[in-house]
Amino acid sequence: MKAMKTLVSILLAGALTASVFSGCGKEGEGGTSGDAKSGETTKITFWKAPHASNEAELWQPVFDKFAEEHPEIELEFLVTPWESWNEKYSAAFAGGTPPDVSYMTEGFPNFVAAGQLEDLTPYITDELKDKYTDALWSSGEYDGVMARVPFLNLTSIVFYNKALLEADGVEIPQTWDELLAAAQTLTKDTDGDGKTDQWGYFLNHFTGEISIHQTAPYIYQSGGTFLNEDETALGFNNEEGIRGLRFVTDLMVKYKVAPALDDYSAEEAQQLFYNGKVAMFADQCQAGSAIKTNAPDLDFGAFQMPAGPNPDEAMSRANYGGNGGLSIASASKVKDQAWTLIEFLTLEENGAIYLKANNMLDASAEVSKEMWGDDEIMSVAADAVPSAYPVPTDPRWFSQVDPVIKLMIEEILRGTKDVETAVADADAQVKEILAQ
Amino acid sequence: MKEKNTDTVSTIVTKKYGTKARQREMLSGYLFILPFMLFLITFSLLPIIMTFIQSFQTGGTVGPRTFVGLQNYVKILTDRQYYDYLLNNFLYIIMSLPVGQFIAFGLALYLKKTSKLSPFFETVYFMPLLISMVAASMIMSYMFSVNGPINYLLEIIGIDAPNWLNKTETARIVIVILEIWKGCTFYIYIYVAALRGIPNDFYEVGLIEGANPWQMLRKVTLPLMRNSILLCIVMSTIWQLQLFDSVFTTTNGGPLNSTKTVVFAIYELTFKNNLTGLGAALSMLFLLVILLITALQLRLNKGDIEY
Repeated sequence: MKAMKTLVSILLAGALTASVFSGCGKEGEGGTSGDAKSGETTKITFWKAPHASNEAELWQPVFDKFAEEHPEIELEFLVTPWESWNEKYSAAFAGGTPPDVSYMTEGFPNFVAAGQLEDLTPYITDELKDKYTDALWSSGEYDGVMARVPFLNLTSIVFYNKALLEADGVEIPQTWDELLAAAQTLTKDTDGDGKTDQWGYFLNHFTGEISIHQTAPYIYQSGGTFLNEDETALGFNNEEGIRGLRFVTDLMVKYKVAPALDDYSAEEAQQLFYNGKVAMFADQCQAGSAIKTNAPDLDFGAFQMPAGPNPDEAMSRANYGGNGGLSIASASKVKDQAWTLIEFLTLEENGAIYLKANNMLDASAEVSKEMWGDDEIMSVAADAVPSAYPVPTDPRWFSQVDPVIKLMIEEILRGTKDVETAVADADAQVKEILAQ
Repeated sequence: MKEKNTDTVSTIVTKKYGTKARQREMLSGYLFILPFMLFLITFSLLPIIMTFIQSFQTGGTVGPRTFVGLQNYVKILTDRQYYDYLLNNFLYIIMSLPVGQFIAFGLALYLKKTSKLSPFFETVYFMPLLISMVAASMIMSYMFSVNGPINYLLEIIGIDAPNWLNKTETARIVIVILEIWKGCTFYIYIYVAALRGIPNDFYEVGLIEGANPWQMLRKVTLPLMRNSILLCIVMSTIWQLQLFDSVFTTTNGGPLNSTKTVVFAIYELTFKNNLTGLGAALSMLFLLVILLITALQLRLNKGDIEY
């Protein structure tokens, strides 16, 4: 009887323990779960952060075509939010369940340094190699590992509300001084309540948040750079860099031609251009797709960043030229199938389905020209490619340096520090980070 | 006179059935708590040990790690920003604890008396607890938005409405309000249970002695509620020290890091900045702070059992 009681206790304890741990250790759904063969198909996963609010919708025609041409491959696509990009990808790669194919930004060196991205050199054909410039291929290489195949290119241009500029007879500004004059003319109180409700310029990212790439172009346009030559400190803690930073932040702080950070909530700020309350704002070219979606009746155009005092003609109109590429995880067990997807996407007729829908440039300048022809907005974006400044490929850039610069900009825009102090403090932090 | 039996259960079992029976009894007991112990070790103890080890290393969530001794601890202790985040935690405690407990206690006193409407009010008061923090943050963000209902009311009475979430001075206030609204519910029900557990005899004696309601509260209710009040204060303090989700979903630590807490900083260091060693060191130091504060609270409120 007593032995039976002990046996029952043991069996019950075992059952309870098994039920507790039964939910653990499952293979991730979207990851490299071995040869996830289902019938005759091989499953691959593709992760990408969104460049549009309807990202998955824009990709669907591409995936439908891929499914037709490659019925043996089952593709699972996941849109991964930018806000948690670092956390999600770090956790997935560290946990051994990364996506087979991922869209990688300039932050890819982190994963190369950890041996998490496959060297794609053996896969790259001569034909593919010739499609892109050496500079583009270099931008996807880190520490001797070719980790990224170029896929898309983005440049920053200035979007403007045609009706507002025409109403006040304002010409497209070509220089900093003209930009300031235009913004001052276009900033006004339209309803007579004593508060400005139409702004000449807008400094936040079109999502409403602060992004360093709304202000950084002016640093380059003035002659500064993100990092100094030996990449040990900021490259704009000098006269040129401070001049550029002061110009752009003064648009908000001194001249008040751009709404202050606390004039609107983030959601309201997003709507300002769509509602005709902002005359001009600079952003990456795919912002045009968001404008078409959110304000289909708005008549808008685009022009190149106005020229700053940088003696280098191309960099005097410097803009943020982000480029992204496609990578394969080292832990992927279906690398051949993953490469099949990458090869498919880099074909002009396939990648263009998504890129055209999202107002983006192909990584290849020639393909972009063919794709966009004389499109009013995208031809400006294509012309801006030579002026795009590179983002440092140091693994610590996105995770540690970018937040320091972002905070520095916020301190200046909120008036808690003057430009020189903010830059000096940020430089001290960045030196410490880069010295590690 | 028969002597009182002071033997423990295990002694009784041993005396009546022998040592082996006692051992079998104990084995049954241990087997029953085994699943929970395994769960606790795997998901509580082991992570703490791993975090402790990581606190002496550099490296990120991906990539190799290097042993660096106390370097991470020195960096945390000599960097002023972490003290600012700890100060934020204390500000949240100072602002939310008294107000939250006062509201919870007051509503509990109201709910204590059962009536036909009690189920309705109990349900209504319980609702904030059922809403997720994400949904609650969205509600608060809307309520305190520039053109939201709060600012609309303020403008009606002639007060200049601020951009609550975008100003360093007011962003913290929104988080405190969110925390009180969401957390207060839980304490209401602890207080209600405690209030309903006080025997009526004490109040009857008080009535006979001529005590007024305020004297009843001070001399009868509060002393008998002491343990519950202490429990709620300690829990509230610990939760406010662990504040993360309301900051993450409402202000993301801004503006200008003014709402950032220590746990938020741990999250940022570990997952955004890829500095898991620093994040682990900050976790360990913060664990000590929480233990110290909890021990201090328990010590200061040590008292006799009331019944």
